[in-house]
Amino acid sequence: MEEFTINIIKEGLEDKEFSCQELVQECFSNIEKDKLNDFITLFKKQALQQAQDVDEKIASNQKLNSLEGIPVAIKDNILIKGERVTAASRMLENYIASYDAKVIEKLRDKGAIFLGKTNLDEFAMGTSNETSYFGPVLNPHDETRVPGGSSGGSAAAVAARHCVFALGSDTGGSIRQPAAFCGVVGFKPSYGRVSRYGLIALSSSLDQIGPLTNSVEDSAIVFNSILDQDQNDMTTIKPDKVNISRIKEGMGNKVIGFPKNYYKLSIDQEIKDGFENVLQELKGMGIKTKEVDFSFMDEALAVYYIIQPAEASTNLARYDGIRYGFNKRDAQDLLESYLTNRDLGFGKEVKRRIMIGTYVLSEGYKDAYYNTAKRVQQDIKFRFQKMFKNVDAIILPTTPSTAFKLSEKFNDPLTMYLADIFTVAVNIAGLPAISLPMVKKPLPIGLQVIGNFMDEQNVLNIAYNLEQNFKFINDVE
Amino acid sequence: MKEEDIKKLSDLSRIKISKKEINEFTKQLSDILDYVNKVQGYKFIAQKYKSDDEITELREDKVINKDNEDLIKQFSDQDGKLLKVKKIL
Repeated sequence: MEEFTINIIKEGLEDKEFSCQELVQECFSNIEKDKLNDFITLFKKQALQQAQDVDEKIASNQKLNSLEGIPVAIKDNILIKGERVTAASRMLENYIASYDAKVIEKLRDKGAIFLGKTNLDEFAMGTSNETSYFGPVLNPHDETRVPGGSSGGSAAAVAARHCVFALGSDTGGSIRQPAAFCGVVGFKPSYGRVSRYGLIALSSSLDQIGPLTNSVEDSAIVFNSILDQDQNDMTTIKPDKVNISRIKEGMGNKVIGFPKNYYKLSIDQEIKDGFENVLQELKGMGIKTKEVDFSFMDEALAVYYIIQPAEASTNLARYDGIRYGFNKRDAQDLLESYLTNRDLGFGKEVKRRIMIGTYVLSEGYKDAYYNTAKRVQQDIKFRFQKMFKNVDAIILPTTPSTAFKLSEKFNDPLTMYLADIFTVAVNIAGLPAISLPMVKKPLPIGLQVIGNFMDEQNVLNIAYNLEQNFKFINDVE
Repeated sequence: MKEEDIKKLSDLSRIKISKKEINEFTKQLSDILDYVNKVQGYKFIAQKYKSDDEITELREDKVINKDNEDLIKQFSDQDGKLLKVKKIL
């Protein structure tokens, strides 16, 4: 199969080229054969039963729902009722979800088949999927390298055709960066488009759920399926679906912004070359480009590593092993049980971030760190508003390097944090952004398209046009 | 950061950490906090900001009766339907 995308698969099912059971079985066989450790839990029995139901529906010539029969992977920080949800942590190793996340409810309604829960960095904290209690995920393009994080399992699963699409979550780049490392499309909608009800919270003012797919069109289809104004998540906004036919139209007179002095950025040469090619492509397409001032990226990363750990320290305060979760059971008193359960339940990166968060919120430091970060955040939002008066979207590389080797950055957290330098400003400002592959060999390189708040239609239109015009070397198989 | 700062932080966070971790974290957290200090040097471009908070409609203050068996099953210790914890006072 040339393309492993939603409409191609649907056609194949409806035209009886293959059965849904064959499709789902093929996914599970590949998962087992490839050994990427991209899944924490598999729903083999349920998925094959669902596939059988779909085949019966097709046999009786009934029309399929929009995502019916499509095998999907779900990041293991999104709750599916009755199933284990671990956040890739020992703390929740045996925790069973008591309700469906809103996005799960919506995908279920449309007939999607859940294959299982994908591996991630513990509590979504990481950029390499190496902090998972269940072991690292391998990059399908080069198994000595990381897939990126924190949605590493989801990105690897889509790239390796273990599923047709996956859901991930993005707080500082956790959908876009692994998408870039794995050569797939990763889309983070505007903050508030997708309900966070049923997403294990990391940083509540930054988290957003989004799709990882093999095409821009697929990310639009999935976005339309999961967006919602939900009473259970008060931060959700008007659910404006995107018009897929209009996404496929030309870019007209749109102006694309790119960072001034991008060639001076601290990024690998191959990334610079790839980006330079994109700017040439745009010239060839007759698209107007304009420089924008992106000199505040370092400060945006600093703001992020103040706000996110601060919110994480609050969100993870609930994990004490008492109402649920890991409990060592030999503590003498209440305080000891907190100290021990959290020591043994959490990995190092989680501990580091909780402690940083505790520090920046503590007496004597809160004003210098947290309150300052919030003020700078407002100014960053304002900077973007100004930029979008002159350009329709901004493009830049998604990451400063291609996928690095396993263990290469693991012992140096700050170096790991710098991997997110091009993605975090987007979450700080609540903007929509997508990463699509601009280079596929020898290692994938992602291009990021950032749009104004609530402007998904425009971001997807531009991304679609870029995707169609990029010249690719053959897909990985 | 000094080692006693790290120890204090771990107490505040209610997480016990080993001597080895105290050692590691002292350097790592110092580096990270040095980096995030960059916010102090940020050049603001705006003077005032308009609030962009949308007011969302609130729902009725009504109990949606939920079966809580699934939650009770996961208690670390229980007494019937009650969660049992260590002595507090």
